Formats: sequence, structure tokens, C-alpha cells
Amino acid sequence: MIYAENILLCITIPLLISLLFVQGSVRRFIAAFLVGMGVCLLSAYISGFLSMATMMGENDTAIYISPIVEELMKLLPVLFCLAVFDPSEQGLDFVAVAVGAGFATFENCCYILTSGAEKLVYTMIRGLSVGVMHIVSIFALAFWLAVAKRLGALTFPSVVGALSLSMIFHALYNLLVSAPGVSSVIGYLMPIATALVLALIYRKLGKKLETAKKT
Amino acid sequence: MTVNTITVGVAILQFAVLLVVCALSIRFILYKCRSLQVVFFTFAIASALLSNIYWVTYDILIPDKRMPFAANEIAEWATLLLYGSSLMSASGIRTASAKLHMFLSALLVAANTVLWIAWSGEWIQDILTGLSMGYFFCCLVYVLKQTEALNRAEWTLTAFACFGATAVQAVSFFVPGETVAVLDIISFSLIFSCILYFFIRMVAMYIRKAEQDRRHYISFLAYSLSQLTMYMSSDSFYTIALISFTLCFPLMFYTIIKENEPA
Repeated sequence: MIYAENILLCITIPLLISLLFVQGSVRRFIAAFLVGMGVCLLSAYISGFLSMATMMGENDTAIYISPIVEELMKLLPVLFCLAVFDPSEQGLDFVAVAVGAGFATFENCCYILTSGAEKLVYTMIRGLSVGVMHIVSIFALAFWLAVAKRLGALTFPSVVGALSLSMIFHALYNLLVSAPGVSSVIGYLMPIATALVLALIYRKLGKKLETAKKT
Repeated sequence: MTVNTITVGVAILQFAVLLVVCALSIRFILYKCRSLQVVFFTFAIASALLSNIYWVTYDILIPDKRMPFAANEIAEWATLLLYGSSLMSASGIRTASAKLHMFLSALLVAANTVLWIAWSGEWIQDILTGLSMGYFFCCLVYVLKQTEALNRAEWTLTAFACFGATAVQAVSFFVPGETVAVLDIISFSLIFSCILYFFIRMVAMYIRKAEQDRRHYISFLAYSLSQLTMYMSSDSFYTIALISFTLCFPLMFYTIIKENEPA
């Protein structure tokens, strides 16, 4: 058993203090990062409760419940930012990536404290798979929302569509790594491969949509 | 070859179809037209593709376990809601009243939701699916009425097939096992005949090069009927419905781009 709240406090306090000395985009990034860590803790509470309520095992909870809960919780700060601050597309991506990074960092901290960090290979796999997966899923969600906003289609169904994108990506990862053999290797490689593809699409599609907007 | 293997094969084919349709829709938005109708349709196809990817992966990795509530349900709800938005964003004068038709479509979805709950026992999941499907059906019926895409006989045929199939499926809860197979044949023959009729009608419209905008709504109707059948069937009937459902994606795409193609 680990005391997740204590770990959160321990990581949060220096970051909170640093907010007093930084400004602009760095401050926004740190604030969103902290929100991401908080959201991770809340997701763990909700997933734990649902796991008990539905009497699912640890593996089934990871495959079916966690992706839905975690992505829904990550969506909330992004939606709040979109509704209240009306950020630019870059601003929205920035917040989303920070929330994802905060979430992944806190989850990795708890995982390492639970399972140990003796083996460098496992910790590297963990960092390169789950760490990247949380950033990619929330970035893809923010990208969908940004495209919907630019095309004048930012409605409730579009938000559900964006949420389904991040949830399926997360659920697919959990599903693939839950089975041994080739599927788990594919699962571990999926986040980093998707990150590269997404970066390419982001640049190309961004330019194309910008051109279309001007014309 | 078992029915399950064929179903997975059709699902993989559906993946390929959805991938192509999704890529072509994005291309259409980037280079030709950015109407809301096409944008929502593209989002819907993307959601359907995501749901399909998860479902196929699940079926390959865990073939013997029935999938509980999972992330692909959210993608299915999103697909239905986005199709509804796509239909409602189509331009046109709206004068005719469609209250009765919308009420009947909501009633049909409600009756089907009760059947899903009775079959699976998954209350929350089925109610939420029913709500999103109800929204889609109401939007579809509304635009079909506004555009007068169906004549009186066709409305009657659709209502008879849908309510008839649902009623026969409801009766199958109270009869012995051997009779259920007969009732299945009756109910699915009824609804498949209706779907086939609309497929033929679309081909006829295509050959005559007539009623371009109405063709689009008829393709959505065939899609919705196929989905309704999929949700109430199993085994070979499910596979047939899945094939018909898969055929609807390129048809919907083709008719929607024809309607939105710049002059």
C-alpha cells in the first residue's frame, strides 16, 4: 500500500511555490501540470470505487473501467479551459499536453513506489509507454476539439467524439498490454509510434486547414 | 468456417471500408467543401472507425468472453450523435410537422431498448445507447419528413417492418426454444426486405440520376435499419446485418459528397 495523497503533496508543494516566481506560459504549464496530477488521484479514487462496485478484478478494471474514467477526468480541465479562457489552438494543445504530462508523472511515481524501480528496462518501458500514452491521448483529444472549433463544429456530439478518440486509444493500449506475447510488444510500441504519426499529421493538417481558412 | 469467424472477417472488411471512407472524407474537407454536414459526417466516421478497431482487437485477443461496457460504447454513442448533427445541419426549408413520426421513432427505440435490457441485463449501457440512437432516429425521421424523401407507402412499409420485427422479437421471450427460430426468421425477413427495398431504391435513383439530396437520406435510413437489426440479432442474422451495415458507409459517403460537391 502507498499513501498517494502524501506523494501528491510532496510533489505539489515545490511546484506550487515555483508558481510564485514564474510567469506567462511557464506558469500556465506548471498549473496545468498540477491539475493533471490532481486529476490522476481523483481518477484512481473513482476507478477504485467502480472496481469495488462492479466486483471486477484488477486486470478487468484496467481494461474496461480505467480508460473511461481517466480520459473523462482528463477531458474536464481541458473543457474548462476551452469554455472559460477560450484559448488559441496552440494554447489548448499546450494545456492538454501539460495535463497529460502531470497525469502520467504522478501515475508513474505511484507505480514505481508500488512495484519498485530496480530494473531500468521496466522503468524505461513504463516511461516510454504509459508516459507517452497519456500525453498522446489528451493531445489527440485537444487536436480534435481544435479542429472542430476551427470548422465551427464544436458541439456536444463533437466533444463526445473527441472523448471516444482518447478513450479508445487508452483502452486499446491497456487491452494490448494485458495479453502476453506479440500483442503486448505492439501495445508498448503503440504510444511512441502514434506520437510520431500524430506530430506529422498535426503539422500537415494544420498547414492545410490554415491554407483553407485563408482562401 | 464458423459464424464467428465470418463475423470477424466482415468486421475487418468494415475496418478497411471505414479507413478509406474516413481518409476520403478528410480529403474532401481539405480540398473541396467544409460544410458542417460533411464535417460532422467525417467525425462520425472517425468515431465508427475507432469503435471498429477496438472491437476487432478485442475479438481477436479475447474471443470467448462477451465484451462488457467498454470504451467502444462511447465511440458508438458519439457516432450516432454526430450522424444526427450531420443530418440536422443540412440546409433546407423546414415547414412540415414531423411530431408524430418523431414520436413513433422514439417509441421504436424505447421498445428496442427494453428488449436489449431484457437480453443483456446491462441497464445503464443500454439506456444510454437507446438515448443516442433515439436522437439519431428522431433527426433522421425529421429530415426524411421535411424533404419528403419517402412516400406514404414507404413510411407504412418502414413502420410495419420495424414495429413488426420488434413485436415478434418481444413475443420470442414467451415461446419455447423451437418456435424462437421460426419467429427470428419471420422478424428478420421482414426487416431485411425493407433494407433491401431501400438499397434497390437507391440504385434506381442513381441510375435515373434523380433526387440527389433524397438519396442521401435514404442511405442513412438503410444504415439505421441495419444497425437496429444488428442490435436485435445474433449469429447468422447478425452477420447479414453487419454486411448490410458495412455497405451503407460508402453509400452514405458517396451521396453526401454528391450533395455537397461545389458546382
